[in-house]
Amino acid sequence: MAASRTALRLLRRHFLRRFLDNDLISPNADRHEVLVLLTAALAVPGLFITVVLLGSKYVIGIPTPALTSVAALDDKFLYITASMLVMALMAAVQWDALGLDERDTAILGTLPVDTRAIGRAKLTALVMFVAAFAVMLNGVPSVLFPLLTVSHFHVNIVAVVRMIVVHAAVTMGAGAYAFLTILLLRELLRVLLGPRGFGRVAALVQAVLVIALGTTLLLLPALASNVPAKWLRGGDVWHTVPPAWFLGLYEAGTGQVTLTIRGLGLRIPAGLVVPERQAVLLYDSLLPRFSELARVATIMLCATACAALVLYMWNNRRLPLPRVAQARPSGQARKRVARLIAGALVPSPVPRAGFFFTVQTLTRSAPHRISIAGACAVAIAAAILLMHGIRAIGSAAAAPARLLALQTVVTVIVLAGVRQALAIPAELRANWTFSMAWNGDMDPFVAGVKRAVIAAVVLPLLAAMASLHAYMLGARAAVEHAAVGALISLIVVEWLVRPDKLPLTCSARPPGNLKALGPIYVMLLFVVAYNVGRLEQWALRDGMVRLAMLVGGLILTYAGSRLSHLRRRLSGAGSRSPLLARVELDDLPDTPTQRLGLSEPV
Amino acid sequence: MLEAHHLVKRFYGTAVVDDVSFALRAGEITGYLGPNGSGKTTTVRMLTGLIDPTSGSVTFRGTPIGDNLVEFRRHLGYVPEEPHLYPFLSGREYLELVGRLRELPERLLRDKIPAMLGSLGIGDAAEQSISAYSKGMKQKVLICAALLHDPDVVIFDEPESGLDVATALVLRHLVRALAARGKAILYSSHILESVEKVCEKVIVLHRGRVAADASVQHLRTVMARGSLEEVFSELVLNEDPERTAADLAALVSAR
Repeated sequence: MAASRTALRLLRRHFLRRFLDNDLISPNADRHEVLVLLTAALAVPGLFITVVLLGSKYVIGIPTPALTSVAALDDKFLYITASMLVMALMAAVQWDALGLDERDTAILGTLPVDTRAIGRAKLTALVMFVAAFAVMLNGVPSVLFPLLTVSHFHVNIVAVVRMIVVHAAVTMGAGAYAFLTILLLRELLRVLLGPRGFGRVAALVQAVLVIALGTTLLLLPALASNVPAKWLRGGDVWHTVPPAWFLGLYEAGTGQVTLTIRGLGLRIPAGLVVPERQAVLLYDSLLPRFSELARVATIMLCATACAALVLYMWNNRRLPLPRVAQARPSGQARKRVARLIAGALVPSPVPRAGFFFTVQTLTRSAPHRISIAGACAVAIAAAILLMHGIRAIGSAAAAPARLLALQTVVTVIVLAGVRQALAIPAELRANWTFSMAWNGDMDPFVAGVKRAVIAAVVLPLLAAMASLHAYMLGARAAVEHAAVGALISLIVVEWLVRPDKLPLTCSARPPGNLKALGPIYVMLLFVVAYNVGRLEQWALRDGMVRLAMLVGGLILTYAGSRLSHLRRRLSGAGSRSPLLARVELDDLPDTPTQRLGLSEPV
Repeated sequence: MLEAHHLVKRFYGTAVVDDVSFALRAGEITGYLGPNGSGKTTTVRMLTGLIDPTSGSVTFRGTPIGDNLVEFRRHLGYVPEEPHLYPFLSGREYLELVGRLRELPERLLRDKIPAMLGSLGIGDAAEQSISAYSKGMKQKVLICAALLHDPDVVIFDEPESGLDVATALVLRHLVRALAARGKAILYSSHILESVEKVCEKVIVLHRGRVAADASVQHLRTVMARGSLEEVFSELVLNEDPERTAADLAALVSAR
């Protein structure tokens, strides 16, 4: 019995490590550094929002009980939804590591340990990982936020503790619900589609989830504003919104404290008497809904947990069988189409290698897919914000510059994600392939990579946006706008895909101060995109001459960037330099933490 | 054709390879033998240019390989010990990647890849992703990748690892056929029987130094032993294998 407990503990530790050592993290990454970074990334946003953004609101701004309880609804909604989205996003990112896989079969299959024990250990590790994640995410706000909301009132310690406990329980419960929902979806797909079918759709589902959840998370500040008003207007629709269930649970848990504070008979400043009375009416009108929503939250959390756990245990009742290579149709038609495309786009061998390797890696490798899905989420969120309030116009002449800027903003954000993905090695240990077959010139390979980015990323993106623009501006303007977008994308690809090292292979990215420069880049992007939009507005308004001028200008810019690249290459600063002729594949990455050296002698 | 001159490789001050010199000649198969940790793979990595020697040099047709590593590798085929490949590519896609990086014409790849994969018995799995391949199947892909560009020098590091008996036999005949076509071959292996059957000449490495460098026949005659296995035991084993095995068996049954 003791031995089996030891085995379980070892297995649990093994699985916990696997969550940190999965394919998304470099195999050489230090686990402690990863943990420190993860903890900081989860705890700091909550601390920042609570102290910096909400601190002044509660400590200085709202001194009355009912106004505080109504204003706090927005912030509680924000905390609950953020917890749900981050936990769901974590589940989506860890998608492959959620259940037992072939690697577990290879490592653990031969050990004299009961398969059910392995499944149980995996589940326990998962629960521990999720709990730790939820605590890191919600721990700090759980203590600080309730303290802020009662900062003006004399409330006894028991009531404060109750508010802290309710905040922690509700935000973590909401996060757990979101995580379990993704887990349930995964396990349901496994049951319905079987291992092979699941293997086929899993990557697509994961990418869609990352995009959808990432977009919603970025739009959350806008979604969480003025919750009570939306609630009253929306009627029963809010019953279908999961964060609203947990907000009901929150209010049901702390309602007594809220009413007690109101009953303290505090003096209300003269200017706030009317708003305070309105706030009392508003809050009281919502009270009956809170208990109803609390019941829904409890039932849904329990039902989802039960269903997810049952399916999880069922799917993991035995170790998955290792994949066996089987005869597969050669896909002659697919190969012929690929050959045709390659013949037209990349006629010579090395660019062709770069082209296909890029397309295959970006579409099939999980870290690359997630990197691009993350960029797509940011791009969609930016697009939704830019599109806010714009209606179909039907003509290019009256199109606002904001609408025309959208294409540039979306393209640049997605291409920045692609640039990030190109810096991730496809498989470090397989890099010897490049070492052995490398011809010493990076340029042809990078040319293939650029063409792959244009064919596989830019063109589908422009086509998707062209359909939106056709609806908003009319077909002709959409085509013209897409043509301008294609030229801008060529320039952006030329500017962004300018690697110092071989894309998709090198273990270390060139150092850069993205933390400092990131916000400047973002601001620059919006300024440049808006001005390009205005330029396009001017060009589209007055026939073909101006448009031709704009297109000509863009072509000249593109030609200029190509020429500058060629000049660098011929002058020896480009990829023919002796340093780059030998592919540097074994560089160590910069450490994610900075050594200050304060203790070293001056 | 390929010569190692006084190769030394130190890791943290310890010499893993110490003053190793030999030559690979066109049409000759050289066996490279040694116990675990004797420095075989380190030597092979220096010969391929994957790591630099601490001292000494490797020359190809009289020129140090470091002078033009890219040019040297155009003539080199290498089957590494560990089958690390891109798991999300299929066997065909991986070989296409290698062939294109080596600037082989597309038409040649179209004909050669399916034929080579078919000859080694994995034609049916050519479209399946490598992540589903067994170790032997990965080894076959590596052998195809090493020979795709018709190299002049071929270095096999444990090529029979994971291969089934039939393919191992094919490999032995293939190595002989390649040598007959004038290729210089280094065959590093633990399997003494294969080395004895395939190689004309053997180099035995022990604790980083060359313990013997002669033809198999010459070694047998000089050391008055009947087989390469006995010669090998005489050269590198300090203990009696039978006795070590008996001690180990006793340890296994210990309670």
